[in-house]
Amino acid sequence: MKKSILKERAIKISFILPAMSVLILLTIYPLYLVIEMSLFDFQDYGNPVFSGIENYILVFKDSIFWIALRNTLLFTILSVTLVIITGMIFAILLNQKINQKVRSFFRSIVMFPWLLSSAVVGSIWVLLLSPFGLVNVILVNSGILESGIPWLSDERFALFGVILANVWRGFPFAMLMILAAFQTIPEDTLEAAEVDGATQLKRFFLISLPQIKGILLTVTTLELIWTFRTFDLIYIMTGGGPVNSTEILSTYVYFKAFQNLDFGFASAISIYMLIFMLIFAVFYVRAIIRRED
Amino acid sequence: MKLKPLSIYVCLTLGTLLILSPIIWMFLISIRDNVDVFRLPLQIIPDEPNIQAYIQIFNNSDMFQLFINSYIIALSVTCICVLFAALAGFGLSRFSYKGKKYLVIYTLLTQMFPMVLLAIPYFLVISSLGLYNSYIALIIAYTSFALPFAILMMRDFMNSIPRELDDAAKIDGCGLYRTFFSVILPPSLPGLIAMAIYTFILAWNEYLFAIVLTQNNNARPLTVGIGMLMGEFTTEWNQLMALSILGSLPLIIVFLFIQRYFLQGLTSGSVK
Repeated sequence: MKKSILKERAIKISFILPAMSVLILLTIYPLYLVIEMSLFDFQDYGNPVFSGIENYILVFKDSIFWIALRNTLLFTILSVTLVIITGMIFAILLNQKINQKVRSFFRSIVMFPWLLSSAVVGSIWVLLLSPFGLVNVILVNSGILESGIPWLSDERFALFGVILANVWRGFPFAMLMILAAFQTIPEDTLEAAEVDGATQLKRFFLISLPQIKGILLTVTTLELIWTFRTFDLIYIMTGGGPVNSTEILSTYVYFKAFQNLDFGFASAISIYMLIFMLIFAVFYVRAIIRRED
Repeated sequence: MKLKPLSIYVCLTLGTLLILSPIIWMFLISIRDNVDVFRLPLQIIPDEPNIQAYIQIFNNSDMFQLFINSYIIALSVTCICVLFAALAGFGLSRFSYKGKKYLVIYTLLTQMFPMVLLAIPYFLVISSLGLYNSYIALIIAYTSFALPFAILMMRDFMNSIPRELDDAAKIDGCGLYRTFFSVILPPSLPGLIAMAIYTFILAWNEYLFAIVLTQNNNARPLTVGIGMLMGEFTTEWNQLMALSILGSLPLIIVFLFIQRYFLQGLTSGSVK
């Protein structure tokens, strides 16, 4: 009898064992390595010397770290705000009373940018934003600008150029989630409000918006997390330049680690990034725990 | 908010065109000569459209190799994830384990790791194992960060499959594995497809680990190839755009064919 219980338990564990061992081996062990490396001085690459928390202090004294942190926050907050607003606008449009086939047609082609790789998105936008690219041609021809602006090689505009590309690529996911949430709102609730004489705006803010509050919070948190750790789009479009104006934490870690080979310093920054992410994550995880219980 | 039908269609069409315009532009650039890319006045539709850029790509065996690499890597990652995540999703949905809650939270947390944080130890470990610049290096890396979301997606999907099915199978004398493969797996197909596409897109599009873990065309995926075409001194924009289109086409085609499952699977877990 006891043997069969043990056997059953073994079978049950065998279902999650492969995935969980992969996850633990491929995330916990590397995390341990990063923490270990962050405690070493890699000035002499061949012989790392134990240096305690020195790297963590050096990071705080590094002026580019602060620029990268500021850019990361600016990039994240602006991107996520615009992603949610754009996603909301398209979700509202697609949630109107229209033919079901037309709805799914538009919904799927608006998803296209989300399918593209950062390399593709980056190259399209580098071309569009180049001094003689389409964006400048349109702005000059319509009389808004006198001459084209080299958006991505001008310190003042480069960050906004990458944000634009990032929003274009990212908003379809938000749209999809918000639209799915809209469609769970019972039709008669809205109709009842209409009968009671609530205006369109009132119905939206007092009925629709509160109903999708939960999903909106989830999407915003996910977008914050994903945007905060962006690397490839910026690496491809500007490489962090010009003059660090688009340097974000992840590109800075990359350059420190793989160009300067200063693995200790780079590891310390990435640990700071992880701590920052965990602060975002607390809200998300709390909501999940509530659902688990 | 409600708008009048005609104005909805006008807004939708204009909005969608605006969103798609970079992609349309990508195509219009790919069918012109490179000298015409920046020629003023800018031609929206090239005077003499041609497919030279595509021909040049097809004649270049290096480019072809990049496609092969991307397919091998992305398909391997997808297969591994489908198998492991389906098993784990079933386990997490049906049984209780000690510390299951923490397992789920940990799975969620791994989603939040900054990728660059993992890139440093991966580079060192993969190099010391002699796997640098190999398919296996990228397959391992991509599996580790596609798997968490895949597991959660499968668990949510299997939660929606009635437990009566399990009970009926048990009464019929099926073991757990038999129950899993012949009773639970078939109705999970939409979820599995959604998860497989998600994993494939993720693996096909990844960039950071591809530049950190590969060195040359033996293992380098397409995304790196696209990035490198751009880094060259004079950019062949028409070829770059043609390559981008060819590289995105597999995803768009797969997406269009099975988008119904995909969108369902993607939203089913989170919209509750």
